Amino acid sequence: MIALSVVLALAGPVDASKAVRDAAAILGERRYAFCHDPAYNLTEDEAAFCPPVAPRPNDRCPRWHEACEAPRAELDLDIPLRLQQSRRAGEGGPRGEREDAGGDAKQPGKREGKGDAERLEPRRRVDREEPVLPELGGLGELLFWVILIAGVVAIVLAILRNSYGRRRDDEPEDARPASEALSPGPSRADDGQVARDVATMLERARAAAASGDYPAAIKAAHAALLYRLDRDGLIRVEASRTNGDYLRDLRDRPDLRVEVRDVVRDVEQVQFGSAPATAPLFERIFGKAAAIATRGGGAALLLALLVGCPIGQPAPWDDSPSGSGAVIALAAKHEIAARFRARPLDELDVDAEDGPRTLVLMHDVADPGPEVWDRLIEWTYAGGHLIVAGGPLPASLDLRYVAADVGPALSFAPDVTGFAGLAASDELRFVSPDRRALAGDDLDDDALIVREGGSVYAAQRTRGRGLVTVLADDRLLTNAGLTVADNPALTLALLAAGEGRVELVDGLLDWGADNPAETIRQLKLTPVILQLLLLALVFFAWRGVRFGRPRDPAGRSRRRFAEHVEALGLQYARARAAHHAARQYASWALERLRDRAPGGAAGLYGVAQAIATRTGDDETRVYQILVEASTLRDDKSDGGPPGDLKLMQELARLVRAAGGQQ
Amino acid sequence: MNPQNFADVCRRIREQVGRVLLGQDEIVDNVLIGVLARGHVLIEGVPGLGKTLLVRALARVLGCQAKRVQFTPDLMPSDVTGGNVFNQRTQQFEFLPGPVFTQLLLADEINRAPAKTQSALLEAMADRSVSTDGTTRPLPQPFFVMATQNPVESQGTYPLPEAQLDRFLLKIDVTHPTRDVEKRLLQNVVRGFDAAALDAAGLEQIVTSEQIVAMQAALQQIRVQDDILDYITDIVARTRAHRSVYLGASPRASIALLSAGRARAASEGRDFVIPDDIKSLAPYVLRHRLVLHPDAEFEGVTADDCVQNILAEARVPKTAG
Repeated sequence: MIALSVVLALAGPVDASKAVRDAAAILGERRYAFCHDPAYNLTEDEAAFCPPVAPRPNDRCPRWHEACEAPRAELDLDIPLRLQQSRRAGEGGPRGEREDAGGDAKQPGKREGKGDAERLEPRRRVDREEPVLPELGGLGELLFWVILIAGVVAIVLAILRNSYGRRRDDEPEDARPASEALSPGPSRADDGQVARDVATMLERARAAAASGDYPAAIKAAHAALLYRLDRDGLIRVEASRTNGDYLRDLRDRPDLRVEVRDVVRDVEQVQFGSAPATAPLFERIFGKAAAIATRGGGAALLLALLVGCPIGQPAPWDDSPSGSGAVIALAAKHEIAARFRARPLDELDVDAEDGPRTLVLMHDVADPGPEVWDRLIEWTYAGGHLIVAGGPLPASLDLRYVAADVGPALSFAPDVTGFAGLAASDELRFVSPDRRALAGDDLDDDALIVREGGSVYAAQRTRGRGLVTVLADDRLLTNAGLTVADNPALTLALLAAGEGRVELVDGLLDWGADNPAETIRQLKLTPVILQLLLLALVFFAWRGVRFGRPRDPAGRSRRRFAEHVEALGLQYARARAAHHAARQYASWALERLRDRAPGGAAGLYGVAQAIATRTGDDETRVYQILVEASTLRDDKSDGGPPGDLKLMQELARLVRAAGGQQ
Repeated sequence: MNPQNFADVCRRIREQVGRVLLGQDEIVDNVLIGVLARGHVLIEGVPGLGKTLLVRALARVLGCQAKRVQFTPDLMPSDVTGGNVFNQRTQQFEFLPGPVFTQLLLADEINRAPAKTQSALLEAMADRSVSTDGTTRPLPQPFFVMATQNPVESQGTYPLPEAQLDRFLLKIDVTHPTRDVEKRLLQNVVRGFDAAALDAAGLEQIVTSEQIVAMQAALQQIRVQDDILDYITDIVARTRAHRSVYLGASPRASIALLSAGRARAASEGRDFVIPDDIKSLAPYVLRHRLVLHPDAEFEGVTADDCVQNILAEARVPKTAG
């Protein structure tokens, strides 16, 4: 009690009437719909605050008594209460919005009407041994893992094969298609490199500068700048790319390009020019590079602030009667920073000076287990204020919850003169509708708040420099709790006792999945994921998607005849053998035309007559072509006049016109 | 001449030439690099893209003499280099200089002349001198050849032999201008521009031929670090090991790459070469020096593909990647 008095004496005074007025002002906001909507559907549990517990009329919550007469809401009991409310928000619109006034209307609310015996047993941690994908059954789960493992193995094999192995068709090198005949360019030098943290590179630059290694410092600052631009998708950093390439990448961002060019010029002066790497030059380069490299970070931070998830801050579902939004707002109004804890309790840093000074374990929090309890008690010994508000109790406190068949009124214990700056007074009235109390050895010495009849509602025990406060329930820390009596003053005193940041812990904290499979299960995405996986496998089997170095599709095994001819012509042209080719063609064409002449016409003239008759061409012209072809065939010179091609075309036309095999 | 003055002169030259030659900045830049690096440029493109206009405008801006030779199948070597002609009045043979005796020479459609005529340019391009009848005569300084060839027509043409191609510092492929550029060109014509009357265009002479020679000499002062030399040798060595290349680039290509890189560095106001100088010029320096395997050609692989592939493999010195 001495230590408690010391702790309490340190807390600032709490003005009970001001706390009540502030609570009224907060509950007067429209967001707390249960105070303004007469048809608001309360849960049975929330309705415990209804008259006669709450006054009628209620100045702080004017329509509360009317809401008490509206139909009750129903909630799923298998998930954390806050999460239920988030789901309700998604289904039914804004928090507190009334649904169909029919009898089975559902609306957000934190508590379901449980019996006292049920409430006496805190929720236990979810058994992690249960099947990960229970909705699939054992066979389904097995199939899931088999497919998943097979997919991963297939992907790894594909990567290895494409990175180190030969092509699947193993075709000869010289038969590869054009783009593959070129060896593939190096892809990005090292994706891991590119992904390196910009801040780390800047720190490295600073460290190198501090050690006097200015060339390395400048290089690191330059790298930080490039990595930043790469991460923003503005440039592509590769080992084979120059600063000029990067500047060309930035041609669509002229302002940024100018800034980067300034940096690059200075860097190149050092790296390739005659400028010495000095401290002033480094500072100049570093200043410019850091300004660009961190600019996006500031924007990202701003974006995060604008649209990011307000972790630890009151969420819309905290505005229900069983939520704690108004409690947090009340604390904020009295300069006490309060929020819901977002990090697991086992990550609580006992020695952290900037950590929470007060932790409140709400009614629906899961039993954290012996190790975490040890850590919490250790944290308390170090000066923390642990409030267990109807939640699980550590064995070391030797306390338990019991049912108390008494009224809802609460008051300070007889020996208590005050609490956290709140002076004990007969005029102060507190209310908690649950019929719960605490039991334990030597509890009377630690009693802080008692119920009518003397059963202990709240007790305090000192632990080292800290304090443990146990409440029989968490009603004082709910929005509904603020609507009655002087509860706001006591609530404020509880939160103020630790003199520092307050973190509320509820069942939602440990509801997050421990592994991806559990996440999928919770989101009921298993069928979708399985179908996508199957689709990916089918696609992989069909297309042979390559995960290694990019390559073009395998080439055709047979080229078109025209391509063969074109290639052959190129070969002849390169060998300066066009005349030879023309000679060969003339010989072949003469034989073909001679075959088309009836009766094996003797001599060129006879062939010309026959072909002219067959094709309708001028006999003289045909004869001229045949003579030229004959001359060409017998020509043994290496070169020829440019007319070879024209003659070949004429011959081809005659062969085609004469019919038969060409 | 300090780097900034060098760059300023280059900028003004580009501006002046760009006044009459629209949308051909790449050609102008590279031709200027060729001039500064004491090299020669081979331009491959269809007729009508302003090649002759470029030489004439460049000659005017650089204060140099320019001549044009239209290469034809019946062009003889002496038609290019000149020859000894008997002077009946003096009863002596006198040397009559050919068109090669100029400072800027446009060898138009060079692949239309037979190999022996093409070879007449070999000595002029390599040694900047012409030998006839046992007498070697130096060519005026600076001496710069800009040759063109038409990629479309193949009949009646004589592809340049590899030795001749190797003499060209850069090979530039010219394509048709964009629609916008072509419209601006037409607007110029509407306003009265006549390519045949450059005097009316009011082109300003920026430098003298002596200053050009001085600028060429100043390139020796451009700093080149060992890393850059390694990068050059790496690129050129890769052309010899590339699977699609039958004959890789010669050491002359390495030297050309270095010279061109220095010229580019100086034209941008730097007194040192950076990797980007080398990388950006490598396609122009190497594309005409590679002989591809026939099967690679069959597959449609081009020298440019190979060079780009090589550049994508070669590691840039002191890079962040």
